[in-house]
Amino acid sequence: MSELEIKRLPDAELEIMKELWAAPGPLTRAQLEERLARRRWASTTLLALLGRLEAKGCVSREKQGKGYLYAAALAREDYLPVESRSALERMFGGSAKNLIAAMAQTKGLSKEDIDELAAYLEELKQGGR
Amino acid sequence: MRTLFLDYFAQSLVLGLAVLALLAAAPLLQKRYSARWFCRAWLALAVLLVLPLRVLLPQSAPAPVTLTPPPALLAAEGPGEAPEPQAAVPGPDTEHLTAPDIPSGQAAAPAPDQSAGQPVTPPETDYAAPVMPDALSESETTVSVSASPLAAFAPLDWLALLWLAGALGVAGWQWFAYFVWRRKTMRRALPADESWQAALNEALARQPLAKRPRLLECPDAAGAMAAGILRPVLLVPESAQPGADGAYLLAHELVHLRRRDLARKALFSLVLALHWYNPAAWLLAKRAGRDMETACDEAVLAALGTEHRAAYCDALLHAVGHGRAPALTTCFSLTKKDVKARFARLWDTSPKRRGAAALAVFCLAAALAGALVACNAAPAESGEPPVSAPPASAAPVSDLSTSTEVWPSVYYSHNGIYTTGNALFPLEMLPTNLNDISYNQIAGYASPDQKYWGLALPDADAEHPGQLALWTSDDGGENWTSAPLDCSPWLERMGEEEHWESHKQSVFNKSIAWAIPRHYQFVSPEVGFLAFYGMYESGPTDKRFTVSSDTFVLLRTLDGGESWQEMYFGDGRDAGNGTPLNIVISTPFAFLNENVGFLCAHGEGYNEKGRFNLLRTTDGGQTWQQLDLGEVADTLPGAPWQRRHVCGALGCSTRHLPQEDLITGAQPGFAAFTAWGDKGDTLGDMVVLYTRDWGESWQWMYRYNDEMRAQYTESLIRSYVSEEEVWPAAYYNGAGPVPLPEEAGELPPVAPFSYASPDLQYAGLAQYGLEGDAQKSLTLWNTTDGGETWTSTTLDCSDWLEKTAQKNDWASLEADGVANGAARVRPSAYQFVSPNTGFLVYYAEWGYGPAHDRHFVSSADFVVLRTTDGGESWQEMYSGDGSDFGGGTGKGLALSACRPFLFLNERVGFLCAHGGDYGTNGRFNLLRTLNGGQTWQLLDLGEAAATLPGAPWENCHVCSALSLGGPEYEPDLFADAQPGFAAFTAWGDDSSDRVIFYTRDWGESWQWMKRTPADTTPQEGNEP
Repeated sequence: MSELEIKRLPDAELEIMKELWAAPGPLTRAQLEERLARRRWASTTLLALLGRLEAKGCVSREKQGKGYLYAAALAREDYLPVESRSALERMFGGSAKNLIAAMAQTKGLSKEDIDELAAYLEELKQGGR
Repeated sequence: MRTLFLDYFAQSLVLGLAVLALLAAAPLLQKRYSARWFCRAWLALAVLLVLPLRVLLPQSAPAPVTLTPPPALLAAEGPGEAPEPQAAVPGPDTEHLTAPDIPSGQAAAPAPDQSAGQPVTPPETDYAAPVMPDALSESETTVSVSASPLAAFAPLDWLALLWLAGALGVAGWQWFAYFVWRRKTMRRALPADESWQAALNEALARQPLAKRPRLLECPDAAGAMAAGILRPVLLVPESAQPGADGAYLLAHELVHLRRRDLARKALFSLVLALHWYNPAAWLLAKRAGRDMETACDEAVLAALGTEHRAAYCDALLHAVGHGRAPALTTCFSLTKKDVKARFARLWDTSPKRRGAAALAVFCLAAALAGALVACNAAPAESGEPPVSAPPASAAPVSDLSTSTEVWPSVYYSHNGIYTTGNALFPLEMLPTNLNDISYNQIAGYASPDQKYWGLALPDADAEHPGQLALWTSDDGGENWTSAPLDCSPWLERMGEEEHWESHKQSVFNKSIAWAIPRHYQFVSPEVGFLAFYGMYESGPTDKRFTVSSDTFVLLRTLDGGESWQEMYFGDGRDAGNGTPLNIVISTPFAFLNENVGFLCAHGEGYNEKGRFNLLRTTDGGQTWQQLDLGEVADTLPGAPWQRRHVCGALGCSTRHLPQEDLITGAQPGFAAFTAWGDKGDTLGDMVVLYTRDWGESWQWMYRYNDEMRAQYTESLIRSYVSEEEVWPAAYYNGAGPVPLPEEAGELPPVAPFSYASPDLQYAGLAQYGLEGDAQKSLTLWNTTDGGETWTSTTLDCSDWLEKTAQKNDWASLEADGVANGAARVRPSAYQFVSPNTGFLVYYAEWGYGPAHDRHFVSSADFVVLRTTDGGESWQEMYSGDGSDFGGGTGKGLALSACRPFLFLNERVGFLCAHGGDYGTNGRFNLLRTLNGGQTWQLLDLGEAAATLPGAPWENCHVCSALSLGGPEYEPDLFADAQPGFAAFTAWGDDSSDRVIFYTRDWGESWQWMKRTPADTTPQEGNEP
């Protein structure tokens, strides 16, 4: 499945994919329900969403005992570039930072700058002791 | 909006200076105070920048600095104009000053009865024809053209608009960007892996938080960050292991969350939005962001201990090295110098003061400066020195008067042009024909010296929709100027909002939009006001019809009519209590100067809560506030008035005032209005409410002098006298000594529903049935020969009875399994006032329960019937429960008690209202009808009651009517009774407070006397 064929997933479906991606292996429906408990979905909702994801080829299903095991058929690495296709986000993505607290927001510090800072810090460490 | 802009502009300037000062002093202060101190100072400044200080502060703050925008900003036309008045009175500002915000009129088409063609006669209609100079030359008429109404939008408004657009833009950009970023990040993020979660647990152990934040890893995150104000999340870079730095990064972010730095950042973004044009605001936000990080660093090290300092700085350096990945706004990213400074501060071990006092002093100073300037930011009154403090006592007069020299009062001429046949000025002096114009479509004024005249006339046709002709003269009417005023832009707006086009039936018919002037008044040669509404005329030539707008427009000129500025556009909903105003009644407006004016609010609900319907503006008509006339209202005759109505403004032409020069001898700040109360639009309680201090305090006087009121009362009393001869007194509520009909069988022991004429020839009795179907009808017995022969008629009331029983749901009173309830009609009064005219009142009663323990309930509903043909036929005058009685309590009555009714002739009658909370609020419970019982009005016995022993009484209970005979018969009182006489027993707080109220003039005036039934000697009284 090439990048162009993949469609941006709706929030709910993406949520399921994220759980599948985060899990170490395939998950049963019960396990998925447990991990998505915060969404308070009905079992049928989850089943419907899984069905849609399966139809899109994002999820694979394997019979195990009475139920099924679900696994991500679409790799996260393949999907992430899709998310970056939004022009809106490209336009605005960078302007948000005055509402976010980040430890160090820098722009355009060169290798030399970093080295200089490291040297300065070293100096302080020496002096401080 | 303009005021808000000016407020924030002034705050921006002064607080901006404070920001710059603190920034300049920062290198020095840094040595003394910690980053936390700075954070607090920035926060304080941000709060001050965001709060609208002028609104929050007491209005009497001294004013050392006054910002006055250049006059050119304030008005569209030329210099030398009076500046904008709206800020003359500090007070909460509304942002709805501009007309387009005003909600449109009713969506439905205006009611046809509002058509402007309907003559509306003002209740006060004395306009004297002032004496005019005899010799008048027919001089030439000069015509000048007024400016377009669009010009009324001043440059300051445009600036305010620009500011608002900028603010919305900046706020919108920041928040939109944030939400886009957040969505993007959250969609990509995964819960962070075990090692990060473990690191978070470790960090939380040192920096406990009430709620564990979600920890996510995200491919885009360059370093650790915190986001989200309500549901904060921590973000860490994906596929990075926490390693040694992880604990420090998370500790740093947790401190952010604990200190609520994200909420602070939101506040700073608001500052940026409000003060986007001010570089100081941007500097503030930038520096505050830095100090927040530094303060965070300090807090982390304080928690971990200085032995972690080197490692922490290493972590910071690594973060800086990674921090390049996503595009960050230049404004908020760290430069090499910044990082160096941050390191330096972390290694700065010199002791720091808490600096609470210094912070407090700084904040207080900034707050004070900001507030003082904001309080005076709005334009000052013209002519006032730029630096001035209002007098300590803050006398309201000085607040509202302006430097404009105004006429103390004017002649109002609207509706008055033709009043009583007298024009305000000889119309032949006007070089235009008024014959085709309905008198109530003309508005005008004259100065008190009758030198300046003005007249506004509708002057539209198909080619000139909405045109007004404004005629003015400044030489006593010798020369006239006519200026056309094009009101079509406003009419277009009205037409759109009120869907005028839907009235148009055919495209072939020409429709005309008229502007109909309702108020045209100058307060000085320069300053004037014009109010008009719209009228849409359409239809075929032979059958034109009109609809009138609910919307009206108020314009003001400050340059003698050269240009007009819109002060108000709307239907009054937003000006008063939310109901539309009708400005077509009376003289609703009165303006005192360019700022202060009054409006008699004719609309629903303005008289409620004991208030008068009087509104005042102090900003030239842009906003209106209902005045509290409570103090003067308590002193009005017969106070408190239940209904309080201010009718219209009184001008110089008002005659018959008890004080002739009340208006003509007034000083600026004076305004007078007619008002009336519970008696309605009669002279009885018609008063003049007037103010001499721009509406701050009010006094009243009777509208007409004693003589005229006495004449009026006399005429009123005369009008009550009936054409036919009535018995001056009779045996009511008892047939007296007339023998009762034997055919009637056994009668109830007391038969109050009977009467007898004073000569005992005529008598009657209403008999009710005691059981079976007889209960559903009344038998009326009458004799005309002193009881020799009796005739009877039966009145079937079964239908009404059934309805009443259903309405009261009496069947539900039945106990289970018992169903022997029955309705019965019972008479309350049966009384003739003459051989031909009589009244019958009945109500319903429900009896239920076993025979030995029967219970009865009575209906509040009752019926008043009248006959004028000796009982041949009966006419229903009233059917209801009395809750609709004028001035009443709105509740139903209890008729079963006493003998509540007494009729004096075919029209006048009384009712003692029992039940329904009557008589408990300091007002006697006596009602009167003047139309044979159709409507009833609570009487005001206040004047007589005020002289009662121990007055005022809280319980004021009129009990029942007195008549000839009976246990409470008063021979003296009835000895000289003439038609118009009525007497009632009454009692007060104490049952020994028994008095008799009586009237000799159909209830217009009342006297009382105190007697006990056993003792017929008058003991006390107020008989004149």
